[in-house]
Amino acid sequence: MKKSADDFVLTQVEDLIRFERAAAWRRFADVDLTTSLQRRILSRGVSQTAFHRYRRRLLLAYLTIVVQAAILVGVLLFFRPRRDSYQEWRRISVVLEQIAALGQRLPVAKPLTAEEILSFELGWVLRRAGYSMQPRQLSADELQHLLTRMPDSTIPEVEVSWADVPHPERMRLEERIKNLLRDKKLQLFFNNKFKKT
Amino acid sequence: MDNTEMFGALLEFKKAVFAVCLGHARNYQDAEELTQEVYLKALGNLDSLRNPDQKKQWLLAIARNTARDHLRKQSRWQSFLRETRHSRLEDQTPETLTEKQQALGLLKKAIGRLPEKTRIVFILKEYGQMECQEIARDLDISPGTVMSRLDRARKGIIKSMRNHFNEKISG
Repeated sequence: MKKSADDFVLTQVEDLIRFERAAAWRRFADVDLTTSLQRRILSRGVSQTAFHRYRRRLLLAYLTIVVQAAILVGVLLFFRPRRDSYQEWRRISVVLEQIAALGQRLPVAKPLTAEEILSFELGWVLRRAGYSMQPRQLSADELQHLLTRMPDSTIPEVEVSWADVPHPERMRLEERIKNLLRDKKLQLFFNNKFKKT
Repeated sequence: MDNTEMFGALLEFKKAVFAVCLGHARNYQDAEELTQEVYLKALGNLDSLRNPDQKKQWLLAIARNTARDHLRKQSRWQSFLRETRHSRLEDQTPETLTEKQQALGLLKKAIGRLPEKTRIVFILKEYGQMECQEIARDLDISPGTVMSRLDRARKGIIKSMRNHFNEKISG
């Protein structure tokens, strides 16, 4: 029963193909393939020339846009508003706090304290900035004071894995502290405390 | 044999090329355009035809690849049925025309769903009306493989079309 039903479907399919093929072939038989190919080759040649011209214009337009965008970005960067140094410090504090939090998770025999890490980081950054500061020259109280300048609410409750933090974050930290050093009050603070080399 | 003569010789196989294109294309217009595309490619690559005795196989390989690429581009089969409705099928009453168009749409869809290797055998056999021996020679496979692929293709087509024709019988 199934076999005959399948045969019926196949016959119908073959009829359908025969019908399509016959109709299509009737039309295709009248087609002069050589002429249509010649026409197509010619039109393709023309369209390719047009395409090249179009591509050149497109490239010019693209370059113009890129140059204009670069100028605009330059102008915006030049006139960008300076950040308030206290706001900046708060942002740094967040990073410092994250680094400090790592002290509890470092894979060392004796876990470092938050102060130790902060001290190390600050020392590292300040030395890079040209100050003759050794690690732990900031007292624990001073570090605590720096940390308490930041409201608790700004301390993020984030899980930071050791692999997430290191080098790029330090670079950012350094940049931010360098910016901070432009602040007159903080310059005074550091100049009083440390000798510039 | 120079390039002009060779191209003239290739034009003798236009029926087979057109059949391959028709089997893959959704309508006549696409098939005709694909055929032209195949010959344009052949014309541009005549230098790569190393063995002139194999020119038919070479041309059909270009046709297969071109048609396959075309089929891949037609990833949106939804537009397929709509466009098939606009293809011209002459000498039919409106009722049979609609039925045939509908069935043809389903058939093309079913062919498009076949695996590539079975699809080309089915198309060469049903659209190209080629003998199994000829298909085997052109595709460089054994006649037994041709038969088994053809059988698989037919089963696939029947499976896809069964509902449509059963509805017709019961309706």
